[in-house]
Amino acid sequence: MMDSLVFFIISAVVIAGAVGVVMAERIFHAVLALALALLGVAAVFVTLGAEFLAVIQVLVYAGGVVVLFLFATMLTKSDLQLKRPPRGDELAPVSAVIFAIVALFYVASSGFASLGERASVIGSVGSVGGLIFNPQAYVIPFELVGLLLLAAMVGAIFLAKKEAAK
Amino acid sequence: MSVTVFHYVFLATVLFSIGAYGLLSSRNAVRMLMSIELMLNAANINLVAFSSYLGNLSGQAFAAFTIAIAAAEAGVGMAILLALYRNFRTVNLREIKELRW
Repeated sequence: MMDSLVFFIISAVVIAGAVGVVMAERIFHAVLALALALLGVAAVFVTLGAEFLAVIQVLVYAGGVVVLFLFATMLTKSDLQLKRPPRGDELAPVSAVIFAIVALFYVASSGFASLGERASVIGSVGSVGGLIFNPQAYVIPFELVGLLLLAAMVGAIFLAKKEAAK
Repeated sequence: MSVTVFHYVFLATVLFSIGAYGLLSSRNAVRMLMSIELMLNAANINLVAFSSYLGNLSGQAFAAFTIAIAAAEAGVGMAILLALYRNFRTVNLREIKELRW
C-alpha cells in the first residue's frame, strides 16, 4: 500500500515535469520543469533499488545536462511561441497522440503485470561496478563509452569555438 | 495493490509519448533537445524496471551507458545549436531553411 502511494506520487511529479517541458511558454521555465522530471526519474530509480543509477542520474542530469541547457537558453535569444502555427503543423501532435494510444494499448495487453514481485537485486555501487568492470561482461563497452565521451568533448569544443581571426 | 513492472512500463510509455510530442511539435531547438532527454529517460526507466523485476543487473549497466551517451549527445547537440545560432541569429527551426531539403 505504502509502495503504491509513493510510486503514484513520484509518477505524478515526473509526468508534471514532462508536461511542463513541452507546454511551458518560456524556455527557462521548461528547463526548470526538466530538472523536476529528471529528479523524479532518480526517485523512480530509488524505488526500484537502483541506488547507483539514482546517484548518477542526479550527478549527470540534474548537475550537468540541466546546467548545459540553462547555458544554451541564456546564450540564445528564443522568441515565444508563434501565435498562429503554420500550415501542416497539426500533423505532428496527431501522430504523437496516435503513437501514444497504440503504445499504451500494447503495454496494457501485454502480460507484464504477471511478472510478479520485485526481485531483491540491489544496484549498489559495488554490484554494478563489479559487473561493468568484469572482463567477462561489460569492460569493453565501458572503454568504448569513454572513447565516445572524449570524441564528443573534442567535437563539442571544436563546434562551439569561435572561428579564429584570419 | 502492489506495484508491478507494468506500472513502471506504463509510466515510461507516457513519458516517452510526451517526449515524442514535444520533439515533433516544438519550434525551438533547445526544447527539442530537452524532449529527446525525456525520451531517453523513459527508456532508462524500462531498462531499470526489467532489471529489477527479473533480478538481472545487466539492465542497470546498460542504463549507465545510456546516461553517458545521453550526456555526450546533449553536449554535441548544444555545440551544434550554438554554431547554428551564430550563423542564423535564431534557434527557431521554422526559420532555418538552409539545408532542409
